[in-house]
Amino acid sequence: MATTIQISEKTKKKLFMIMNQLEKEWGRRVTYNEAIQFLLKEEGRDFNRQEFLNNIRKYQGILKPGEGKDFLKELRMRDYKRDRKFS
Amino acid sequence: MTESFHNSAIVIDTGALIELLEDSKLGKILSEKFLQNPEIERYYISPLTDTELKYIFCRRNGYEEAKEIVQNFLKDFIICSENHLRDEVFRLKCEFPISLADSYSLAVAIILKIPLCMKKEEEIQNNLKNLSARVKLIFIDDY
Repeated sequence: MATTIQISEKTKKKLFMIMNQLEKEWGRRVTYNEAIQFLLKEEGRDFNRQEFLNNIRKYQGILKPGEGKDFLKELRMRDYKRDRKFS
Repeated sequence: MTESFHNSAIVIDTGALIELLEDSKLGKILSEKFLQNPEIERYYISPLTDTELKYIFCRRNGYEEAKEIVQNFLKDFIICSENHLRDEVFRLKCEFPISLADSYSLAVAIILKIPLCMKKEEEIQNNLKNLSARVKLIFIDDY
């Protein structure tokens, strides 16, 4: 059920800027409700452990043993070599 | 070993998340000791961790799929904004011979004054004493 809250003009302007930013990112219209939900999530205030763990479980084992480590090692090694070249 | 997290938040490093994605022994430790720990309610990552994970999946699955997989996987993590971190990152990078990615994870922990959970790495171990004076480091390998 929708309800009314009072916010200052300054807060409303800031919220509107965030909505604009989100609209660009998400490629669709964003409501004030969605913008506030986004900010609450950013602050970690709407954390639900069960949902969090259920989501994580879907990805456990998505990479083969050593697969992610090898890609990361390769990426960081390239950066390290580039670093050394400039120092 | 039990840890107490009075500030209810922690930073997780790329290496530790990869262990989770590979479902290794260390990944299971991360899950059991930290992700399932009821004392922790906010899980932060650096923007570079987001990028590194996307890079890994991009190499494996291509750009579009990588973006989707990592966005969904990280949906309950808080990605600390880069503009809050950059000054601390250049200070760390200037003072310690550590990677830019490690500097970003350390900067999140320093700025938010919360522990950083990571896997042991030579670069970090070599500077452990000085880094530990600035930030609480937790190694999943120690459990």
